[in-house]
Amino acid sequence: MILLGDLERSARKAVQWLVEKKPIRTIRDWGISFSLWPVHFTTACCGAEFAAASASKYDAERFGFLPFVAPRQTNLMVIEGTLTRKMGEAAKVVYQQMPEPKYVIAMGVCGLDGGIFWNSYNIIRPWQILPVEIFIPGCPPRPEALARAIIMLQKKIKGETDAGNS
Amino acid sequence: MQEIAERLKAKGLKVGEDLKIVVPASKIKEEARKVRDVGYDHVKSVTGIDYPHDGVFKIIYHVSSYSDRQLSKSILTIEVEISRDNPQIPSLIDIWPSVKYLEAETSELFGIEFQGNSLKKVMLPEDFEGFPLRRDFKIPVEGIEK
Amino acid sequence: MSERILELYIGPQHPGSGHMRFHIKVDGDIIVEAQPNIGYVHRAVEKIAETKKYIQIIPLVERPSLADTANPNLCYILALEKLLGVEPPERASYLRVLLAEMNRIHSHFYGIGILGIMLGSSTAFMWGFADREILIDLCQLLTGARITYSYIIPGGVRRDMPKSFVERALKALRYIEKRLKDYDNLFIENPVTKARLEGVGVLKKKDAIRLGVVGPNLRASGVRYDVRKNTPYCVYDKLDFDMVVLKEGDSYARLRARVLEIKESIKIIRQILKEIPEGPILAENYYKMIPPKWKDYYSSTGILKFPAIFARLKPSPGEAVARVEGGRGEFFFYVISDGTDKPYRLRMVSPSYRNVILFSHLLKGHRIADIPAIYGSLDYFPPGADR
Repeated sequence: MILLGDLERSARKAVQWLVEKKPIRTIRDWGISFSLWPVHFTTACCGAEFAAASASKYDAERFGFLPFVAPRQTNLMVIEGTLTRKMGEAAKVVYQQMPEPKYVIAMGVCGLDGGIFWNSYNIIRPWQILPVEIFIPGCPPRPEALARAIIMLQKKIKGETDAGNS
Repeated sequence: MQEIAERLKAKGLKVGEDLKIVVPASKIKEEARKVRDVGYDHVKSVTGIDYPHDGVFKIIYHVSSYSDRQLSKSILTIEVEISRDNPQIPSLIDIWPSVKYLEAETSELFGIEFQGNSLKKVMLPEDFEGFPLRRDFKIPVEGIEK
Repeated sequence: MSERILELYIGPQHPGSGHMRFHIKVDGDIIVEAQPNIGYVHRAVEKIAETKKYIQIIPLVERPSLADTANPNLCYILALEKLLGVEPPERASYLRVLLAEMNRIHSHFYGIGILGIMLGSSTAFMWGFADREILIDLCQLLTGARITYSYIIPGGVRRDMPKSFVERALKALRYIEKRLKDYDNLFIENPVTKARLEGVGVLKKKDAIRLGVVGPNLRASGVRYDVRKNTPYCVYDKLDFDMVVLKEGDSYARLRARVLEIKESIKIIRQILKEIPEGPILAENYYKMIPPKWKDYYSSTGILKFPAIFARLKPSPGEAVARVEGGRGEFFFYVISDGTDKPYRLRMVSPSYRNVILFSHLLKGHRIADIPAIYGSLDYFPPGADR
């Protein structure tokens, strides 16, 4: 590549190869996993437990989890509860505005298959429009379950998935 | 309840002990004006019920009062019946302004037109087709359907 | 002139808007017109209720109003009991009021916390949610769940009070009373809070009556109306408490009305814990249908297993109306049954839906920075409005 002369393109490819190598990649994954900032986007009733998990008793900020206002500076989206059609369009627009690498957590049984509202005429399943990484069952899930989901996502980013329990 | 029924009868309304008035759709506005002059000043709910066998919609208004001490302990029911093929009824928004969002929800989910209420779209997305709360709009059910 | 007017959307992704959208037209910094756009959480509870049996509707009506769930549960069961013709025993009525009042206190702490974070005071948010957790622990001791209790069933309640409850509850109430003085010093008597909330969003008495407003928003404008005093249900006519009525009608009065209601609820809970009688917690004609093995289980642990008739409850054909004062206002339920095991029509009007009409009325003439102050003081809960 260097012999063919395009210096910028080959420099870019060299940096990409270097970042994927072991020592720098470990530091990069460690940095991402301890600064997962969710965007401020409440979708339905599980938002009350999300707010309780960010408050003082079940402090989620010790994992680096700080709800932030603008989608351009965040890298996590937590879909709390049921996603209706109107809210799904808004969720898709917000997801496209977030920069890479970005992750999605679906909270509550309404994210799995509709929960208690499974036969409503106005809801959609979130995994049909967004790539969801972690599902949390519960109606609503306890704040400790949300903390456990953050730890599972951190392990997944760092590449340490241990088979069985985590 | 007996004294309240006496007060309403004195104004010319046909009401029994259970405080329920049945009104034809053409006279709804003048009867509502008489009810308001007795002292009922806000509407608590507007319900639409679908009877596909009889071919009618029934609209039920529940009204009550904040300012009058005796009337605030009771709820008066006004029942109107309209046909299912051409559902139209004059709106009560200039008599009771509190009815604006309640009528809009019934109109959107049943397909009834309230003439005079300018609010049309409240809950459903823009491209929704059909009227969900009618009995012939089916949603999936568990088990075997008879 | 019309070139000066800008149209803005304050959308669902905004820390100051919740799950709804505002369409506002501004001229410089002053709002000329404001319309709410709701329906982002419309999950059609009324349509789903026509496909579920009567006992399965209890969790369904709790979910729209998640901050206080005991009150819509109580309202639905009061309407259903009128159709079934069954009366709960005395101890069950006292336990229902106990749960409803504890729920009112932690719903008001939620409201104070959300108002705090919308004004920018994150300490008020942290304190409000931390003190709310104390009451949630008490409710967990009584019912077994954190927020969605499903505690009130036709004929009575689901569990009896454990033995250590009275002492822990009195200790928690003493702590909350001491804490309310700290709230006064930090948040309520704070000059910044007063400057942002006094005189903002004034609702006059005749407008409140004309628009059909409910809850502490109505009582902070001078109207004396509370369902617990007007048409008492359960045992409210035997308890001694005051109605909180203020006359200024601005956002500061609405905040103070909520704090004073917490103090009245603490008074009510103390009276209940002193006066509660002994006895059964389920009506007699349902209790005798439980098999003997589960009756022994109930006498040793206090947890009831439902009799089999709850799976096929068939009330007589007719209709029933019930209303209850929740934390945010008045709930209204209207149940029509036709003799089968599923209702023909269930109508549910929540207090947040009756308060939506205030947005276009109150926001006119204020600045954009007043939108979170007015929104937080109304204590509007969008899933409750959209159902």
